[in-house]
Amino acid sequence: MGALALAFMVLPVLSLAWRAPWSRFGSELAKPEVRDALRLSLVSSFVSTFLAVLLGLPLAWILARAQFPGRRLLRAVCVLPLLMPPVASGVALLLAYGRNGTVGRSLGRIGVHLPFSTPGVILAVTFVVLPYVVLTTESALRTADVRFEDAAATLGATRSVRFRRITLPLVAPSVLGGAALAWARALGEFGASITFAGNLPGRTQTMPIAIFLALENDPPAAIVLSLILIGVCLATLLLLRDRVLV
Amino acid sequence: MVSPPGPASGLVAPDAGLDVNTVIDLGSLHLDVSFTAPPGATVAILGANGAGKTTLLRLVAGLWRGASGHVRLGELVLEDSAVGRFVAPERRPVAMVFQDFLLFPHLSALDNIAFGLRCRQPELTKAAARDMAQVWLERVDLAGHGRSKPGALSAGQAQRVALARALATDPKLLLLDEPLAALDASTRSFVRSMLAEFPGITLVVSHDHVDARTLADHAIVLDNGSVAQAGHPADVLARPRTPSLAAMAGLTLLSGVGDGTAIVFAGGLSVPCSLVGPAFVALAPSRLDLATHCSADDDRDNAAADNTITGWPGRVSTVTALGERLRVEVATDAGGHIVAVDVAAIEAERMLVDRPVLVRVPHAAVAAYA
Repeated sequence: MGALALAFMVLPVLSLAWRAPWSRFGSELAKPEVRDALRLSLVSSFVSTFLAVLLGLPLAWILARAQFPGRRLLRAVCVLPLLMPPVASGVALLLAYGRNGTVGRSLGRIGVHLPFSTPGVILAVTFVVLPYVVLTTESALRTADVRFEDAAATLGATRSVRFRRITLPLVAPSVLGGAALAWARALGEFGASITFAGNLPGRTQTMPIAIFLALENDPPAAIVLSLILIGVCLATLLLLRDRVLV
Repeated sequence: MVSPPGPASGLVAPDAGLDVNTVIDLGSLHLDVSFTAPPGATVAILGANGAGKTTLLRLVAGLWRGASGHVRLGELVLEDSAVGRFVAPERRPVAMVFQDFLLFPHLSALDNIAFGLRCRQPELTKAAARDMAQVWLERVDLAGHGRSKPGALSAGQAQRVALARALATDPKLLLLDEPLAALDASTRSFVRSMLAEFPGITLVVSHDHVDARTLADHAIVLDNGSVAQAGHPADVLARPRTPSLAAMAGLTLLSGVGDGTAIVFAGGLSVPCSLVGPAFVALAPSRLDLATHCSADDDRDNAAADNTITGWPGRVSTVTALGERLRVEVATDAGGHIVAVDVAAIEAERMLVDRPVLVRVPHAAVAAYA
């Protein structure tokens, strides 16, 4: 059964490599629309991962350390984007930040239109990947020994010094692990992005969307783009593992 | 005589000393402790697990806030519930060495020490703090281990780094939770001499009566959250009032009632004594003797004839080897008291569990106190 499971996972990837028109890599990468899509994918995945860490850390801190009624409910809310179908997330984002959305209408008045824009892609991707950072960081903070902070306090460390120099370094491996997971998920994000930000080449067309469209018009190109995306993802994670995660 | 337990018992503090009066309710433990210590004193805090020793240290450090009371250190009022004053731990001139050291695992031994230096003296540059930390490492004989992470240090080395980290912050009050527990004999004497040089007040939680005797000039005994005894460590340990302290001091503690001629214990056992009223008797196992060779009745007659020794019949309950000696615990037939007696190891074959024996208690070995 184990071998079956392995074959089940490996076979599609091998088929991809087997059927790949390897000679077309150069010409595909030379196409401006492919490079645009790749660039947008990289930018949106890194920016949204950064935002997820920035926003996720304080939230994880509150979930792990603060005592207040409704904490468990709040935690469930934080898991929600993980459970929602990405397309449904896209629809929900449209209802909130769309032209007629609850927040989007006010944003529109001050000239900010998120749907069908690059920031819109980033918004959608961040929404989807935020739970990865929050959950891994929260569990790390929960299991971290708070007495290290006590020890730091008796050595004269103020609350902010304790957080920056003791707590954060102690949970950093978990935060980075969560961020890596979030980034890999962000790079492949499709449903929420296409629903909320659409498919505008150069502005909102990320690699996954480009692949999906290529499959209809030019299947070999879709194979090439898929392999490129897989390659970028693996290369980045391996690089991170060697430099940061060890 | 030992002074009665109560606020500020025994230790009269000048204004420059430590004055603690703290109350906290932690559910499982209600702590209500008052004591004072003069400048430069080393106070041993003794007591059973769960008696509140570590809790007391955390309250004095400011890691917990007492429900009421005060903590004063010389002129400094660190805490005073009457005026709502509470100084955060990072602003108290107090350093603490934790039982499991709590060295920061992501920092080297050198940076662990430099951390406190930079927190207490923000004007120090990173390089200057490291230079000072290096001096401290040399002082604890770990000059070559500055770059080691705590995980690579032995328990004894980690303990010394933790001590250096605390002392480097130049505290006026040093709190030590079981400071010598992880150390081998040579390191122990090294650390003892270091602590002897520390000019401030030291509070040291200990399970070891040797530590209490050698490190401290005062001792307070906690029992279930309150001060059961206070005084000089040797006096306190010679006259324990709680079973846990007696066990720590290696004594058998019996409590009974004196009628002016004898102290009578539950079950009718007695020893001659002139005390009247409730009294404790502490018996050192090394000063008692066991008779097994003849019938208990004969021996009781002998004992009765010899009016300097009292005999208590009982049965052997446990036998433990202590080097050259055997520690034999005897359950007395009357009252079921457990009395520890040391005998020569050569007696091992005769010390069978459940065997009838006679505990011979020389009257000179009886330490009785109210």
